[in-house]
Amino acid sequence: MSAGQNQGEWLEEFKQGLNQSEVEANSSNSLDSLRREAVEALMSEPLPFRKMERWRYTPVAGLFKLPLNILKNQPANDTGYEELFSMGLDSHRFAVINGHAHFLGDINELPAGVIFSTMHDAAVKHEALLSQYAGKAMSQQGTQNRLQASLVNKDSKLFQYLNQSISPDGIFIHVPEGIKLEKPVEVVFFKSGNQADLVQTHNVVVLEKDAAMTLHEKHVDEEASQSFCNNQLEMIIGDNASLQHYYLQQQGSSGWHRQGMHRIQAEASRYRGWYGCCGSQWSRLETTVIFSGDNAESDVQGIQLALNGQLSDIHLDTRHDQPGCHSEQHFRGLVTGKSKIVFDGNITVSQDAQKTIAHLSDNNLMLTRNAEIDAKPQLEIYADDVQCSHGTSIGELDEQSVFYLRSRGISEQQARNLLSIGFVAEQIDKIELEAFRQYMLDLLEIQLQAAQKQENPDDGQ
Amino acid sequence: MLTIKDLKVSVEEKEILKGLSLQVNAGEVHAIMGPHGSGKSTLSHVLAGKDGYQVNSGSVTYKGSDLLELETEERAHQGIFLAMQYPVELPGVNNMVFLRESYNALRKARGEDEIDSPAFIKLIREKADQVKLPAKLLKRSVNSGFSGGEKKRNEILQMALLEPSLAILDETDSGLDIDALRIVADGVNQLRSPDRAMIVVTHYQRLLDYIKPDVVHVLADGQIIKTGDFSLVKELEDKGYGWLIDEEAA
Repeated sequence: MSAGQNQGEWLEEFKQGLNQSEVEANSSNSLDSLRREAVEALMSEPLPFRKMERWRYTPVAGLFKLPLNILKNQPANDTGYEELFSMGLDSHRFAVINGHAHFLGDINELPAGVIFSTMHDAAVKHEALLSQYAGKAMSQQGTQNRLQASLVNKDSKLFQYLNQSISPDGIFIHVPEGIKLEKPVEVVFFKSGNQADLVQTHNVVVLEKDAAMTLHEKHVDEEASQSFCNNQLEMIIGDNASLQHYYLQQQGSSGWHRQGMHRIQAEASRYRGWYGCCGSQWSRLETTVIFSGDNAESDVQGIQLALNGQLSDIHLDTRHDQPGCHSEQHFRGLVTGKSKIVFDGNITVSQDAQKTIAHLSDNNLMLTRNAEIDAKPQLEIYADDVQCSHGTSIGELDEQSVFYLRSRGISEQQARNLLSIGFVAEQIDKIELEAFRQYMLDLLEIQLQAAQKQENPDDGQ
Repeated sequence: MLTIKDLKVSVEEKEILKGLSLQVNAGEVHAIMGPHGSGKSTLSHVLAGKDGYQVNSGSVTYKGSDLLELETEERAHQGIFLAMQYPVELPGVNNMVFLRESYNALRKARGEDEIDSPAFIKLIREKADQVKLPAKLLKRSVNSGFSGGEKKRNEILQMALLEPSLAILDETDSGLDIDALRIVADGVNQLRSPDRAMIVVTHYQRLLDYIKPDVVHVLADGQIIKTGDFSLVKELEDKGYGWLIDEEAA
C-alpha cells in the first residue's frame, strides 16, 4: 500500500503488477484475448505528450504525477445506492461504485431475453455473447487486434490499453431483436471516499435488430479526491435499432476523468446523444462512431463547461464509410476564470460514402479574458455527392443585451449570468427527458454561481 | 421630476446634444419630435445610462438627485424605464424568468419581499392580457423570433409591469401597423397618472394622435428649438420640420 509515496510512478507500478499477474496465455475467452493484447501493447505504448497532434492543447503530465492507489479498489458499502438516483426517473438502475457494477432491479421483471449484467458476471454467464461484442465498437476488426485497430487517439492508445489490461467490471446490456425497453436504463458511476484511486470500468451495450432503449449515465463522486476514472463504453446498435443516450459527467473539481465512447451502427439504425461535460478538474471525452451499414443516423448534442480552472476536452471522430448516413454533432462551450476548453471534432467521409449528410458545429462563450478555448473542426471528404459543413465560434457576451437587462433593474452580474445560462440553455432545451432537462438547468446555475464565488470571494450577497 | 439643464453629450468625439434643456413634471406626458439624427435616441440612452456617451457639461436632476451619478440598474430601481427602439433578442433567456427577475429586482431595491412564482404568473398573465401579448410569448426566449409588433408589445408589457415613475419611449411606434400603434398608445394612456411622467420620443405624429401629449418639443441638431402644446403636432404634420429649422437658422 505504498502508492501514496510513489508520486509519478503509479503507471510503472501498475505495469509491474501486470507482469506478475496471471493472464492465461491460451484462454480462448475473448475478454482474455482483449486483455492479453492490451497488456502487451501497454508495455511499449508511449505516454501522451504535447508534440502529439491529439494532445497538442491538453496538458496531461499532471495525471502521471498523481499519487494514485492502483491496487484493487475496495467495494463501497452495499447500501445507500438509491440516493445516487436523484433525478427521480422511473428507470432500470445500475450503480457502479468504485468500478464495481451492481444491477439494482429484479432481472425477472425484464422482458424475456433481455440481459442486464455486470461485465464480470457476463464473462462467466454470457461468455459467447460477450466474445462476439466486446471490443467490437472500437473497430471493425474480427476478434483479433480490436484495440490496435481502434480509431480513438491514433497518437496514443495508452488509456485504452490501461483500461483493457485489467478487464475491469462495468455493465453489460443486451437487448434482443425487436424488444423496445420502455423505461430508461439509468447508470450512476460513483467514486466514494477521498482516497486517490485509479478507477476503471468497461461497459458494453448491445441492441439487436429493431431493438430500442434509452441509456442515462451519470458520473459523480463523493468528496474531494484526486482519483482518475478511466471508462470505456461500447455501443453496438443493430439494423434499424434505436438508442437514446444521455451522458453527464459532474465529478467534483479535484477529480480526473477520461471516457472513451465507441459506437458502431448498422443499417438504418438511429442514435441520439446528449453529452454534458461539466465536472472534474481535468476531463477528456473521446468518441468514435463507425457506420457499418447505410442510412444510419447519429445526432449528438452537448455542452462543455469549464468554470473553475477546469480543463474540458472533447474529441469526436465520426467515420462515414457507408453511403446515405446522416450525422449531426453540435456543441456549446462556456468558459470562465483561468479555465480551458479543447474541442476537436473530426468527420471523415470516404469515397464510397455518397449521399452523406454530416454537420458539425462548436460555439463557445468566453466570459473572461484569461480563459482559453482551442476549437479544431476537421472535415475530410473523399466522396463527391455529399452535404457537409463545419464551423466553430468563440464570442463574448453582447453588451447591448447586458444593457437591456440592467435597464430593467437587473444587476450587471445577474445580467451576465442570465445571458450565459441562456447561451447554454438553448442546448439544454434539446433534452427530451424533462426531469433531466430541469436537472441540467439547475446544475448549470449552481455551477456558475459557485465559480463566481471562487472568482470574486469578496462580493457580498 | 426631471430637470435637464444645458446638457452637452458626445459620442465618439462628435457632439450630438448641444445644450439641451428640458423640464418634465409629474403627471405630464411630453413628446419629443424631430428629424432623424437630431439626437432623440442619444437623449433616451443618456437618461437610461447606456455606455458610450460622454457627458461634457450640463446636469440632469431626477427626483432631486443627480441622475448621471447612478448606474443603469440603479436608475431602474429609482423608477426610470426606457422602452427601446430596437429591443434586443435574448436567445435562451426565458421571457417569464426575465420579467420575474426584473420585477423582483425592483421590489428588492425598494426593500420589499420577492414575489413567489404562482403569484407572479397570475400577475403577468393579467398584464399580458392588458397589452394583448399572446400568453405563449411569455414562455419563449425574450424577443427571440418575435415580430416587430410583438417586441414592442413586450416593451409595453414590461412598462405596465414595472410601473415606472418616468417612462421614456424611444421611437416605440417605428415600424408598427395601426393596430400595434393602438396597443402602444393604450399602454401609455393606461399608465397616465398624477405621480408619473412620460417622454414619448417619435419621428411621426401618428402615435401622438392617440396619446395627446401635454407638451410637445421639437429637437433639432441637439437642441430643443420649439416647445408648444398639442397643436404643434398638427403644425408639424402640415409643414414638416423645415420651417422650424429655417426659423432657427435665421
